[in-house]
Amino acid sequence: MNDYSLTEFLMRIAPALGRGALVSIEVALVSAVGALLIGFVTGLARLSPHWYVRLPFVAYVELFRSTSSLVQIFYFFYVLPLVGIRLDAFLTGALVLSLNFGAYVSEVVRSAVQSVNPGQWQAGVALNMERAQIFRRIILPQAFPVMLPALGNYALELLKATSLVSLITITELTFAGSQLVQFYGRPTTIYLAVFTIYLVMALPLVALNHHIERRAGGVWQGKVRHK
Amino acid sequence: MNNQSTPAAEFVDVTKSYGTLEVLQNLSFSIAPAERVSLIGPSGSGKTTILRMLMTLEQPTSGDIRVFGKPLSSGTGPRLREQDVRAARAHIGMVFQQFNLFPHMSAIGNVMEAPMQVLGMAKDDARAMAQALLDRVGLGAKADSYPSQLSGGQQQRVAIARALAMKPQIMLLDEITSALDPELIGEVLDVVHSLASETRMAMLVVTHEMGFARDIADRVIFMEKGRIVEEGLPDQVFEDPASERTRSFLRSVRR
Repeated sequence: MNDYSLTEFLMRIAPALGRGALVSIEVALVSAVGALLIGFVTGLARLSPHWYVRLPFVAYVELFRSTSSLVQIFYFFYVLPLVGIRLDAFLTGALVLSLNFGAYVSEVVRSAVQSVNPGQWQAGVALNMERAQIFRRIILPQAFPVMLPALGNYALELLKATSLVSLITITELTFAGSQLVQFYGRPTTIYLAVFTIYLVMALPLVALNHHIERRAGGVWQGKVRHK
Repeated sequence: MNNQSTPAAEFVDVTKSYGTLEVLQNLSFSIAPAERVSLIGPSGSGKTTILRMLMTLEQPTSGDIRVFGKPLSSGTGPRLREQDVRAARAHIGMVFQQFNLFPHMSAIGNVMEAPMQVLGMAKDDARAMAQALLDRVGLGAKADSYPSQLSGGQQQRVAIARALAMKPQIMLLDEITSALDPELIGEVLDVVHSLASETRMAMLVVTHEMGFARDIADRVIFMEKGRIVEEGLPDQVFEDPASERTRSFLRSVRR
């Protein structure tokens, strides 16, 4: 079983690892969309002037930030069916990662909105704009560039965190690797391959983050800075 | 529509306090349509708070504020509906000490924003009007510049054009030259002086430029510690103030 040459061996394990990597990317993409949606709603809700609006969202954020992601995944996987909610493993994994990262994204959204100079809001009021207009036209466009570096960073974290869902039977990259190890042995080679694939998947995000950092502050400020 | 006796803006027994600190105490005064009023006085006397309450950026602790006879805010009465507040607020424009231009919009974008969003003006009309207003403040050639590309004086002139775009009947000028380098103050004050001579807007001016306060105003109000100490014609207040406190304030700023 172990007498393949290195090249032969890599060729043999490539299809399984490739399928696993695709699943990892799928989990990451679905969770990223979920985390963004949850994070925006939560971050904005936490800016509400009413405590009874903020309270449930604060509870959610603190709950997910202060417990282990791994335990969250197990808990959802085993407990949701008991209360009659049946999701397949993929959805459960994506849901937990969305909720987990959504909690962090909400903090990014909240602090970015709060970082916009209060004078901007006042200028909107002085022009008799509606609250929603001020928010959409004045505040968010200025808050968004502030969020990007942190969001890019969490995207990278999320990609790595997808390995957690291997523990609830999803054959993503890490799980595919460990299955191969059980079958063939040669863990050093296989995990080096897994390691390398994660790195390759992360590279576009790393490049994107560098790009975002160079442009930090938004186009309209960059215009001057680069003169 | 508004008969002569309706004030443009009216404060009735307005008190504003933050905790135990009373910023304004039982203040009552009014501004007539087209009247220019300068508010002068030491820092912390409540001048800016008056402007901010008139712009609904602050709420009175007690008392009522009315604009052309319609309630703008009430410290004691029932909470006003958002749409009523906005209807009253539509008469008022404000220029801020820190300009507060929208940094992600060009100069002309800043001016076009509210007419399009609030008044529903078509883009071409808004652009034409905004260009005319920028021309009027001497910045027609800077229409496509972003605020970060403009000097402080230019930014403040864009802010004036932006406020004018909503055609306010009362313009609030809150220390509009305090954040400017001395050599840029003149260009901003020139714009305000020409507005004053060409329009019939009421103006309520808070400034530390005593020459400007005197020249622009029909009436000068001197405030101290949240109260009006004295008010009168500019020449009278500046040349022959009735109160010793006004006298000593004017001495201190002239020194």
